[in-house]
Amino acid sequence: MTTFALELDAVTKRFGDRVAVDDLTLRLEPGTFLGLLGRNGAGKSTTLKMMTGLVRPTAGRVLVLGIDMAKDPIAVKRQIGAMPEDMALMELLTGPQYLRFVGRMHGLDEALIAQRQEELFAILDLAPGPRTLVADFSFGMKKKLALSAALLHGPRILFLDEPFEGIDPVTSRTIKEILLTLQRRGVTLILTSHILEVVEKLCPLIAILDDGRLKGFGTLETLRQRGESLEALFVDLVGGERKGELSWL
Amino acid sequence: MAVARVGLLRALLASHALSTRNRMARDLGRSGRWGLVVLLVFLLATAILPTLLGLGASGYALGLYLPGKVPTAMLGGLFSAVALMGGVVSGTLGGTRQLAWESYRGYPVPLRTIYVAELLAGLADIVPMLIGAALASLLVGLAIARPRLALLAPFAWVEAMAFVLVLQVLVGSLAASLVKRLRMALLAVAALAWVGSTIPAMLTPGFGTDGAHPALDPEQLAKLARFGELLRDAVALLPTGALARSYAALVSRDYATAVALHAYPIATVVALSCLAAPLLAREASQVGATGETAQRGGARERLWTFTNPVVGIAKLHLRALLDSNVGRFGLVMPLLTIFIVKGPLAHAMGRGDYLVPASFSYIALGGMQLQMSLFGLDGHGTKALFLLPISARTILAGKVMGLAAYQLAQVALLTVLLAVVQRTPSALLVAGVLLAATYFLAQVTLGQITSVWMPRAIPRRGARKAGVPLPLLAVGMGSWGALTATVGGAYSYVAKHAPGFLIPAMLATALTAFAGLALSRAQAARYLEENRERVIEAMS
Repeated sequence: MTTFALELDAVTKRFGDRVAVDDLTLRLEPGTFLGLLGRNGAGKSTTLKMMTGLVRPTAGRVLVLGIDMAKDPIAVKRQIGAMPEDMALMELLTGPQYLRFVGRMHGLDEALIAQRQEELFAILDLAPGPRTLVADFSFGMKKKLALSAALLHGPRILFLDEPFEGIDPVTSRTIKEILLTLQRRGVTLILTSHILEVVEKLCPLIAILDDGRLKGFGTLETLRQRGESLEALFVDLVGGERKGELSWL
Repeated sequence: MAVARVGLLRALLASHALSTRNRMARDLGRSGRWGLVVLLVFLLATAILPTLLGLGASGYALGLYLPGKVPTAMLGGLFSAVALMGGVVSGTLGGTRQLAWESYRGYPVPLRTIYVAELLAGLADIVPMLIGAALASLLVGLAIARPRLALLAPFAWVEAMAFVLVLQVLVGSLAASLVKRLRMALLAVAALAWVGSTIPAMLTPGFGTDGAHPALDPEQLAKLARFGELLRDAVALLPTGALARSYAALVSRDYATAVALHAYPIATVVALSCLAAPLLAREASQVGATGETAQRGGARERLWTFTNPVVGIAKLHLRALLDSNVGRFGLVMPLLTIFIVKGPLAHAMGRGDYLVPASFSYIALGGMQLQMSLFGLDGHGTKALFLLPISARTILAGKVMGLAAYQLAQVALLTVLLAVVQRTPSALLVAGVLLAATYFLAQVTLGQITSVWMPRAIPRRGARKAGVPLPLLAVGMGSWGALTATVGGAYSYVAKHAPGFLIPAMLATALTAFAGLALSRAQAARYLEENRERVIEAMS
């Protein structure tokens, strides 16, 4: 029996009367790199939150490496790393303090945390002042720190919500290289982004959500048979007709 | 062109006034507005009006004795204290700009227009408003004593207020760290003054009531006279001293001198203004470039560690508490408690035997909002907590432990103060600590549920969104009231009728409360686990 890296089984999430994710079923093999696409409010972030245990599904179940998220969330969280869109950092700590906190929570020893932190900061070109609080980091520095925290314990699945937003081109390239290296080493990656070029370049597997429903799922090659480019396919699937023109321009 | 500039200035001020009003309306809410009105009425009646009347009377008295050397110097001293010191204090306390320069600089508005708007907007700040009223009282008093002086009043008011506004901006534009240090120094001076004037009075029975003061010897008097002369000369050198001398000249009908003396304060205020403008522009551009949070310093270099996740969460929680305004203020609470409970309330009620339970109850009331909103200070960090491989039970246990450490510090301070100031017997103090433990354990048991039932962000800085929702307030106050009536009442009853049983009785209540917390932990953790998204959404 195959153990999927990630399995969403008829997952639904309602907020009051609003259905954010509707009967979503998805299975990912280990080592997959999935690009999760959708318009604003399509349900991407809610799906990601359910996958990372931040939100409980109203119906259905989420299995991570065969472990039911509802039954043993701690075991799941030991295996995953997540970088939410708002980064969710502890702003009162300095960068090294934050990584030490996260590392200790994952049960890593001090020496290992220090060594990994050094490597992460070096490769991500992150050099905060020793007394600089996370609250005083620039947006790009916060993104790098959030990625460092997500990678620190060596996760088997990595969730990234808009990782390239607000990042300079050099750092963006570094992050892409890290992600591709992780994929080569068998880590499963799930990424959401509005930048279709990035998804097209990085993710062999694409899922397109709209109104909480899965509108398209497959490899880039398979999906492309239905459209000329990812952008054209995306617009075709989610419906993106123009609303008119500005009268004074 | 001039018309266009006036239009821009008006637009800037209108935008500032509207955004200030909207922010206040949002921050305070309906109940907060009423609270503010009540507070203002209270302050007006007890502090502001008496001060204004006092200044008016001082102006009247000085006006009668002008152009004497000493009254002129005293008037100069008053002008200096109100205008110069007021401007420095206001700039230090406010420490920053009124207008959103970062936004306004994006529009085609000359910098000097924004600067003038900034100065004028400063008038709506609370300290300049009070200073303006104080100055007006002083000048009215002078004019009542000598009606001729009314001629100078508008000019003197405008010049003195210009000093306040320019100094406020100048000090506020200095490096944030310098302003922070100035602010700390001001607080330290205020605290020392309060401690110096209050604590000895509390420690010494009958202090200041017998009217007996040792007479100063002639040498001391000579020293004081020399110091007075030095002070008078110093005031005379200040531009505000020139303002006072112009009043003296007017009383002497020396009109030319009275007018000419205004050149000095006007030239000084213009010079200071020219100095402040570029500083303000530079400070504003720095803030725009690095983000407003760069204003905050105080990072600690030391890395910390912990033995297990519960202790890690506890340390993090304690740090969030100590870094927040509400948490820092809480550590001053024991001092205030002693002052309030020992001072005005004891006098009002004419009895002191309730002092120990009342003090610990008051401290418990102060800690209520932190217990009812355990995630309140975490902000986005809440999400990070829930992404970690730790259970809801661990998170709650860590938070309770962190808060316990914080409240233990409060209780320890209060105990020391009660022992030193009141000379409270140790048995009563031990029982008081147990009473505080009962409050904490009972309220935090409830707080584990309310923190999830109605999660609420507590602002780390300022008063934005500081209002407690009514249901949460009702639960908190209700539980506090019930505990005060039962456990606090039991303390008073046992202390009076069976003092030998006080410590065992309070130990029993604390153990009962501890058992309640221990028994509720699993249920509270389950409740948090089931409703974590509510907490995350509320904090993010």
